[in-house]
Amino acid sequence: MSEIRTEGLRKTYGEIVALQSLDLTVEAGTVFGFLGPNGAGKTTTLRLLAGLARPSSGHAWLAGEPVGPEGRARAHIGYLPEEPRFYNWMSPLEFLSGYVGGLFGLVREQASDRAHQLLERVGLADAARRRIGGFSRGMRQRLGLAQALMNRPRVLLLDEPVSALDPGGRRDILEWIGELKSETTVLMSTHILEDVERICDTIGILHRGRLVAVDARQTLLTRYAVPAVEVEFDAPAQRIAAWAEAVRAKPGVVGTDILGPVVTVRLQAAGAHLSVQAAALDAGLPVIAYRVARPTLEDVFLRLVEA
Amino acid sequence: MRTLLWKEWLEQRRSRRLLAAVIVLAIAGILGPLTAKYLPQMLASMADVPQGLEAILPAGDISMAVGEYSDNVVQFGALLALLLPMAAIVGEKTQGTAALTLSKPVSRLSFVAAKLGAQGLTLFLAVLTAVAIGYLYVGVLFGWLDPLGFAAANAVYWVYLMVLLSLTILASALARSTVASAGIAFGSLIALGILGGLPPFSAYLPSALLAWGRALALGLPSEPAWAALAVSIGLSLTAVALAWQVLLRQEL
Repeated sequence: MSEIRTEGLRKTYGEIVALQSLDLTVEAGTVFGFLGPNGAGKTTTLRLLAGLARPSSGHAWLAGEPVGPEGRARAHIGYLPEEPRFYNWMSPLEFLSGYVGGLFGLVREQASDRAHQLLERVGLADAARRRIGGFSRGMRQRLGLAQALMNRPRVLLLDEPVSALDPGGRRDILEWIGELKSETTVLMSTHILEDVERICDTIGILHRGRLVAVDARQTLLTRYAVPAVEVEFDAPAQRIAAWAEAVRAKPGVVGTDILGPVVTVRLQAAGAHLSVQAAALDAGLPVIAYRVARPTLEDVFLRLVEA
Repeated sequence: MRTLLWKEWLEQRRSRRLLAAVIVLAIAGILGPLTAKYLPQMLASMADVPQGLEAILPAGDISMAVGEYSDNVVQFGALLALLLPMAAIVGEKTQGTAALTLSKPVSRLSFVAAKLGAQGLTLFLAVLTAVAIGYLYVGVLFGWLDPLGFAAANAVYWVYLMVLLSLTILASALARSTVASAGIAFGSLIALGILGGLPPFSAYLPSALLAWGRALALGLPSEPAWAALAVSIGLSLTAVALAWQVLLRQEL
C-alpha cells in the first residue's frame, strides 16, 4: 500500500519552476531517500506535502488523505523542517507534552509519557526543563525530530534531519530513523550521499525540480553505475600513466582515472573488462591487484545530475 | 483551539505582556482623576506660570475626572492594542514557528482566533485594573459614581479597543514585517478616526462608543450607540475572518 503518492505535482514561483510534475509513490515501511543538489526542489516537495505550500498544479496524498493547508493528512504525518524553530520561552517538555501533544489531541498523561520517552530517545532528557532559547542547533534538530514523532505518524517527512549534528549524533539518529521503518514510512531529503547509503532502501534523485531516477538502492546502482575495473601496479608513476593512456584508446573503454598506483578504468559495458585484463597482463608491469570496482551512489548521482 | 489558546495565554504571561499592559492601564486609571484634581494647584505652584491663570482654570470636578480617565484609558489602551499584537502572526511567520504549528492538524482560523482571544483577555484584565483603580480614585477625590454605569462604560471602551486589536491582527497577517504591520494598523486607526469625524458615518463607527461610554460612566442621559456597537463587533469579526483568509492563502 502506498503511503505517499503524488500525481503531476508542480510548483512554480513566477518564472522559476521549483518542481516539475512530480509523480511519486512510496510504499509503506520504506525509508525513502530524496537526493539532490542544493536548489533541486527537495524542500519545496516536503513543504507541499506538509501542507505549508500550495501546488501550482497536481495532487498529493499522504496515508490516503489529500494534502493541503487545511488537509486531514496532517493528522497522520510528522514533519521536521531543515531548521526547526520553536518558542524559545518554552521548555522541551512543555513544548512536546503541552503544545504538540495538545495539537494532536493527545490526553495529558499520554502526551507526557510520549514526551519523556522521545526526549530520552533523542538525548535531551537532561535538558527537558531548560528553556529552548539556550539550545544549540543540534539540540534543536533533536527536539525537531522528537516533535515530528509525537503522534506516532504514519508518514515522517524529514528535511535534512541530521545536518546540524556531530558525527556521533548523526550516526545515532540515522540508525534510529532506519529502525523507524517498522512503524512509519520515512521520506528523508538530503544531499549527503553517505546518509542515504546508510539507511535508505529506496532512493529518488531530484535535479532542477525533475525526478531523474527513482528505484531501490541496489537497482539504482546496477542500472546507473558505470562499470569499471581497478588495476593496481607496483611500478613507477610515469609507466603507470603511459599504460593508462594506452588503455584509454581501447574499444569499450570510456576513460581512466589514476590515483597513486591504482588505475580505474571506466567501461562502456561490463564485458569490456576482458580486454583491459589482457592489457594489464601484457603491460610488462607487476600487477598487484585487479578487481571489479564497486559502484557507489556517488557515481550514480554524479552521472545523473551531470548528464 | 484550546491548546493554541493555552500557548498564547502562557506567552502573554511569560513575555510579561500581561504585566506591562496591566501596569500601563493602572497608571492611566490613576492619572485621570489625579490630573483633574491637582492640575490647577500644580500650575499655581509653578514659578513661571502667568499670574491669574489659576483663576481662569476651571476647578476639577467629577465630570472632568471621568473625562480625563476615559481619554487616558482609550489612548493608552489604543497604544497597547497596536503594540501587543503587531508581531502576532508576522513574527511567527518570519521566525518559522507558524510552519511548525500549522503542519499539525489545526485550522488557521483557530490560529488567528487564539491570538485574538489571548490578547483580548490581556486587554480585558488591563482595563479591569484601570476600572478598579480609576473608580477608587474618582470616588475618593470627587465622589462615588454608579459602579454599574462605570463598569458598563469601560466595557464599551474595551469593545472599542478590541476593534483596534482585531485590525492589528489583520495587519499582522497581511504584512511581511513587524514594522509594516504596525504601520498598517496605525493607518487603519487614523482612517477610522477620520471617518468617525464625518457626520454621515460618525454614529455608526467605533468612535461613537467613546461618547456613549462617557455618558454611561457619569450616569448622564444619552442615546445608546447600538449601531456603533454592532458595527464594532462586526468589524472585529470581519478583521479576524480576513486575517484567516489571508493566512489561508499564504505559504509558510
